[in-house]
Amino acid sequence: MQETNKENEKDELKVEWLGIDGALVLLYIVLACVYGYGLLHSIDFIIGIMAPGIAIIITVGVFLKYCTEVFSFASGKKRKDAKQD
Amino acid sequence: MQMIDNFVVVLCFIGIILVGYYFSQTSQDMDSFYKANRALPWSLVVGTLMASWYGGAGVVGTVGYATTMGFAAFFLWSIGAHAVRFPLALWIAPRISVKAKGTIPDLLREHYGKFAAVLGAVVIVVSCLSIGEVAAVGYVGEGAWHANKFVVAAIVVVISIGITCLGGLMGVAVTDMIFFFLMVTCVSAAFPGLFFSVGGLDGIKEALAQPAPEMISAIGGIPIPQAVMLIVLCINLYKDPSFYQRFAAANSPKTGKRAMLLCFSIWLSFDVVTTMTGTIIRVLDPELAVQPEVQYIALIAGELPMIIRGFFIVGILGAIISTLDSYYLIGGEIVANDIIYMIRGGRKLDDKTSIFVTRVFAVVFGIIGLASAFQFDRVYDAFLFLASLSMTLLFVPMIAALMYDGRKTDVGGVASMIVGGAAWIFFQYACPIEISGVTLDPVLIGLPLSFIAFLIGNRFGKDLSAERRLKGI
Repeated sequence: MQETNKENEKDELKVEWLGIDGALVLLYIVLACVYGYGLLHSIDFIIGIMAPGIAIIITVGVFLKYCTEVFSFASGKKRKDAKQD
Repeated sequence: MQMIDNFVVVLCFIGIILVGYYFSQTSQDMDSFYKANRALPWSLVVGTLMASWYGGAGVVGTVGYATTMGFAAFFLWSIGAHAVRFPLALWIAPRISVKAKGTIPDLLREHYGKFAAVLGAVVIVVSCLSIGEVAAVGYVGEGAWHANKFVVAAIVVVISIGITCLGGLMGVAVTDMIFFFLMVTCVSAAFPGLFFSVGGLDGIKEALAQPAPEMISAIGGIPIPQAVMLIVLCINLYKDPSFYQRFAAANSPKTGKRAMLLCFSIWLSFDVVTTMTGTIIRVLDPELAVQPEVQYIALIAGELPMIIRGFFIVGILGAIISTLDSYYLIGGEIVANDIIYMIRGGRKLDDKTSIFVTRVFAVVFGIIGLASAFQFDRVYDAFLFLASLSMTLLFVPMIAALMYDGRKTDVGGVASMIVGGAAWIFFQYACPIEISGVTLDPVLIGLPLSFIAFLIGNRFGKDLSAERRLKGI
């Protein structure tokens, strides 16, 4: 039992470089390079449109994800309550 | 600000207080009040990490600094700052989620004993006063309404206390999510209009070529020693109690890690917006005749259409509120569950009393923060002062407790804290060191000395690992 817990713990602590973890690290590096290039080479689209656009898109995405989680939790709870009645 | 904008602001804050009230019905025991039942989903962790970290100092303060740093604020301050924080997300955050059962002083007590825990608790409680954030509110009030700094700060502190007292961590996290959404979308939406109104990057470079040419080169705005110092200081996040609390409250170790990794990309994009806005303020006011932080609020508020302008002010004030309520909650928790616990000789308060004490101390922190906030000239001065001292005390023992499974003694922990803190005070006040005309931050000397003291101290004293094993930690 203790060994299984330790195995699970190890799995949870592992960094998936070829999975989501690696992709998120790569996203940061790519964005840093693109924004840096845009600033040094005066590319207005990258700084004036792309940077605020990406900030807004990710933020709206995270917010919607949270809203759908709350909605599915609330509707699931309602269904459960109705079944119990 | 027009009447309709003020109406939007009032309406939003009533809604936020109602959200806090809703969660006060569900947060009746300690685990739900302080740790949200360890059930925060990924999306909520992203929102709460983002909003808690990017408070008034993070948004308004960054704009203020960028008015003198220029492009270097992005290349050094932003890219460098986030890069040194990657290990926190990749390796430390999951360990906090697995190992953390309580607060930072709790972790220090388990690894180094009571004295280290008391020292840690005192330092964290002082930093939880969030003086820099309260000062930032004043700039927003002045920029948006030309109002008295103190009155606006008092209103914001009262709202922050209200959210903390009502909803606990879940209330704080959900309101953080709303503030995060409003802050990023409104600040970013106003930026393109402002950016193209000064002629884009060519216009900025042309305007600054004469009065401040150093601002338009990648590292020109900051002397190298100061740049290194700023980047090193950015590891202060490693001992930040609000991050510790969020990672501990996440529903799995991977949740905290991935939430923070995504935050880096949002922060980076958002930093382009705030640092460039600071640079544009310098273009519009090359002599910096008006306080840049105040001008920023007035400028963005002027750029946005009505109603959206109200949401922008809610977002900015919300960023400050979400930071304040996070720290008030943590400070209150540490007083109730660590300081009073140790004073009572290791006897815990019951759930109701613990939550009551937390609420009382949230009010006390608000009053002290308000009374002392306007003693500092710049928001960031206050922020860096507290961050520097607490870092030399907490960084080494905390990281060792989380990352190093070998022998750790009470003497090692206490020695690293005392030597780190004493070195900081000595090199800050008695013997400041200058390199190329830049005064070296005492953190850079305090941290290595703290580490050496930890290594030497570890050879003496009591190793508490056997006791931890017995407790199943």
